[in-house]
Amino acid sequence: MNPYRSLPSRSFWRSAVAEPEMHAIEEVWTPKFTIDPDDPVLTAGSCFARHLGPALLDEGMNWRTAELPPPGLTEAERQARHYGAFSFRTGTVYTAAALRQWLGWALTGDTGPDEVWRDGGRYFDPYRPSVEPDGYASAEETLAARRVTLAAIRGAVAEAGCLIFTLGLTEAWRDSVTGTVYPVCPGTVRGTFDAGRHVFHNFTVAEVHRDLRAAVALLRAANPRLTVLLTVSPVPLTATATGAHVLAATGYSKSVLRAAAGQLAQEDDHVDYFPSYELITGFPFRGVFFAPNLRTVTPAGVAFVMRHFFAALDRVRGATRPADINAPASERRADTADGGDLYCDDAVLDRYRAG
Amino acid sequence: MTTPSSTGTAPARFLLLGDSHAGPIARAATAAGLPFAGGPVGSGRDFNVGFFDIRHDDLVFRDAAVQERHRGFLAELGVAGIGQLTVPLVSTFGLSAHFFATTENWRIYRSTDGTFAPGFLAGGLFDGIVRAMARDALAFYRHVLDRGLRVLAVLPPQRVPGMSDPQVFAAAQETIRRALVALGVEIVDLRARTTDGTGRQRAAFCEPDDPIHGNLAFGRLIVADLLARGL
Repeated sequence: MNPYRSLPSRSFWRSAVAEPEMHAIEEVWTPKFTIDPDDPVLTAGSCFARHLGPALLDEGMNWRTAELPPPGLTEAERQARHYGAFSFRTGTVYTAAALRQWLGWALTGDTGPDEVWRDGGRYFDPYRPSVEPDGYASAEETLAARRVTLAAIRGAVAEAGCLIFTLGLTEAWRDSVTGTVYPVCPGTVRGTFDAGRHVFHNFTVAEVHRDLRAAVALLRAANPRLTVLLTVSPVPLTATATGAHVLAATGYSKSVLRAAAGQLAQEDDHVDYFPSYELITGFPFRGVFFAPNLRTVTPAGVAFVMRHFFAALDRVRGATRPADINAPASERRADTADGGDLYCDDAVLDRYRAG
Repeated sequence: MTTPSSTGTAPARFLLLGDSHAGPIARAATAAGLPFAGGPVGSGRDFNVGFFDIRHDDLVFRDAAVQERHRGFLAELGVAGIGQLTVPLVSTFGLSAHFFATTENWRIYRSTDGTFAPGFLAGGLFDGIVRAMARDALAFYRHVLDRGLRVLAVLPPQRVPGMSDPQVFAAAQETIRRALVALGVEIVDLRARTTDGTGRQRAAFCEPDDPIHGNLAFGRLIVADLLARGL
């Protein structure tokens, strides 16, 4: 007798991956904790995270958005102003450092630097330059809007049962004056690049782990019953500022994020890791869930990920999913006409490619 | 019926007037912090025929308790009559299709083998009967639309209790839906997101231990849809 003799079939590559048909691979995730259908769930992170909220609602779960859109907005206006994409109106949060920064501002009373960017007579928040595409009328209005978002984050965290955070990138631009991290390079979506001030940084495993751990500590100090579910976006980098080939840079970035998330999930009983990254990029799936640009995840891919997610939750709840509802509603939803790049601030980098 | 509810001090974004199917909507809107006035005011069967009068151009519910709640909601919204509303009306009146579909009511239209004649459920006679059963609900919608209100009606959970016929349920619902669309009512129809392959409400959206109602998760989807429509 040895420990391997008592392991389930999912522990063995031949029975768990090599032999089943691709769509029959199962039990890829065994949740550490369950999520009650009525427990508020928050989502934040890279652009892949925007798929989660509607999918959660469509399976009867309580996805919560912290800020309601003002009445009277059309669907297009609502999307353009980033209402209802993620739980927080922060825009995409690609890095663990940016999550820690937003949570710090929301939960500790420091509302962040007062600097705003001016463009064509309108004002923009450097830390979420795309959430208000037409900008604000004044610097005061810009900062007041940020305070509204921070208060909304605070309120949502206090009530939530779980935060799902999708890690996207390790590459980021920092402000050497304030020590803050930007969501995108200044001068791309908005702002003006200042080589003397805006500094590129590629986070290491230790740094991502440190920022994640600090973010979890902030969350649990505000709400001790909150659990955190980490995922890594399977979407490759649009561009790298490292000088390396973007394929190698993507490999570094995703490896670091995966390692840091996995480490924290091993260390903290209230943190779990959901393998959306593996379900899309794992070679057993042969890249079939990528659009022709080999970057965008197709609706079928999103549905595949969500099917694993809900099936796993059903298993821990002791429920069974009837065969005729195996496909989540997300599979039946059309993706956005822009392929989802509306919410991907880093997609703008593709404009700068040579040739 | 449950107590009407509203949230916070922000201006209400809509008036909710409905039967028990309005309950999950009210609970979900409250949980989401979406300000509204109103809620469920009675049982579905009470809002099909003979439930209101028009007096001096004002809509008055015949049931005193319903009228009192209705007045209270209008007072919250700062208006004296429903025709003065400046926010949309969201309603579930007239959409208790399971009530129209009571199996016993349709026995005389069935053949000796228990089936309906081909085309019966899509025909003029069926359409006329259902519209007659819901005539005052349709008149209610006509009245508020004529006052210039934006009106949304929410299709019920796709649940058919044992006393009702699923075929008739679906056909009656379609008759009412068509009639409302023709009047100019916006239909909140979540069937594509909440039903299984047979067209029935998925368990995730059903109130447990209850054969008719949707649950809070169903209410959340409705609220998300209302927000997407700009409410």
